[in-house]
Amino acid sequence: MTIAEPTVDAGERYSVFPFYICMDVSESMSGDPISAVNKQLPLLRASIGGDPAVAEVIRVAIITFSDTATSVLPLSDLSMVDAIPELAARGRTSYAAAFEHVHKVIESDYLAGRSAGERWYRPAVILISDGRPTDEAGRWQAALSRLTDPSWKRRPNILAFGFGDADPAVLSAVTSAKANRAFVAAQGADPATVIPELLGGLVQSIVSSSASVYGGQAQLEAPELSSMRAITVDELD
Amino acid sequence: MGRLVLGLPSTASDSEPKLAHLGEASCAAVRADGASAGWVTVRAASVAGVRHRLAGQHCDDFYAWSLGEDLIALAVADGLGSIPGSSQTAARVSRAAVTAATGAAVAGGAGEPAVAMRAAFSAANAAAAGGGATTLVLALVSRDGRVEVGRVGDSTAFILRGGEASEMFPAPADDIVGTETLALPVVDDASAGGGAALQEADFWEASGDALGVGDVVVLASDGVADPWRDGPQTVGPAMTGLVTGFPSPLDLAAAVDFSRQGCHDDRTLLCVWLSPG
Repeated sequence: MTIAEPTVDAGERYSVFPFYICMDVSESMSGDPISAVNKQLPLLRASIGGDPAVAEVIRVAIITFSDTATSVLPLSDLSMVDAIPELAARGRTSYAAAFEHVHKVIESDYLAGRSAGERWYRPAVILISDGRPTDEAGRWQAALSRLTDPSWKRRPNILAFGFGDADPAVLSAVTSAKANRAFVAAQGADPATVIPELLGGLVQSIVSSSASVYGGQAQLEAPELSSMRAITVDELD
Repeated sequence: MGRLVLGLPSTASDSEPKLAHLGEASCAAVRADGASAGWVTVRAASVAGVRHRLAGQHCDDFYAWSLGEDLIALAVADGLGSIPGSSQTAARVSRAAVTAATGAAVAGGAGEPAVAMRAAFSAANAAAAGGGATTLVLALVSRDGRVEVGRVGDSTAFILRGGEASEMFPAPADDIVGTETLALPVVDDASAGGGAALQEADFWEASGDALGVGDVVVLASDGVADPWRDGPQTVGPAMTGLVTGFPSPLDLAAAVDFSRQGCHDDRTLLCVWLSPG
């Protein structure tokens, strides 16, 4: 649930840096992994929403995906959100559903934000997955191509994080554009250990990214994670 | 006195900064100047952005001017905070640009501002070498009212005339905000390895106008320029009214330190008027 934001005078614009957290909630996330996610997500609200210098610029949406994708938290100023919805695991791992949904909400959020006086920095998508896509490769790749199409002005930058059965080659493909990065945990790493560090690092990433807005080069800052290694796009080849 | 609020207020800008373990005047969060030289008058204000102040860090903006016989050169530089050492780069570049401009004007005659502009950017680019990166906007104002401006990056210049402000460079695209800022040093492909100054085409944007009595040229870092453009009912009229009213340096600094949601960058305004007669 969110609280209504104050209205803006006509013609006035305010800078916004949107983050879309795309969280895999497929059946394999049930048990300790999804419990860890539900324990950590409120910290995101406390850390980002509790710092006015960050919260005034950063907007966060949470999208879950399994067989389908759903916006569980619409793009929000976290200082005005009173609770993060609890997530539940179910179904398979449709990357296509995630990419199609995030494309649709970025477009609609941008248009709504623009009419509400927002001036957007390029949106960031944070993809977190513990598995391989269960779609046909052609379908999720087509959805990814549409999401990252250079001719689409709202195309996001993407950070992808994988653990469990996530496939480094797939994550590399997802983040093959210049500004994007992918990270994967070691095989066999305990998700209950990886997830808290990942979401803690994500908070730091968002805070650093918000600070970069004022450094002359707004950029999506990747977190430093001891339990994950960065995948270079060269691994694709 | 409360902070001027322009649009939605910023909660962050009213927070008390943390007292740093060390402080000194050269790291002042607020700087202001004002002076006249018969034919020309200058006002300047620079304030550290909310993010810098709350973190106990100094302002990465810098301003400088150099007064010649018939020409004054004025510069605003905005060091890129994402690159270490950029505040010092902004200082070096500003000083080098204005000094080179007035030096070239003396040597070549004030009748050739293009020569002064070229000398200024060449010197600025050379001064930017050695670490850090910075934007630069430079104005050359002649005693006869000619104004030439040049820039690299997103710092900009406005001209205030008849109570209206117009930007002297093209405004940024109106869609998604760009995430990369042009900055000095600029190195051409041929000299990229050695970092030598460019020898060929101009690497700065240029514009010009004629200044009448009562008109004001305002150089601005993006910390002011962005909200100026984004606040056509708030920041724009407030800044235009303030500057047109010939403020004291302290009044200018207080106004530049306005509160506005999400506007936390360092802010600098450097204003120049021709005096009557």
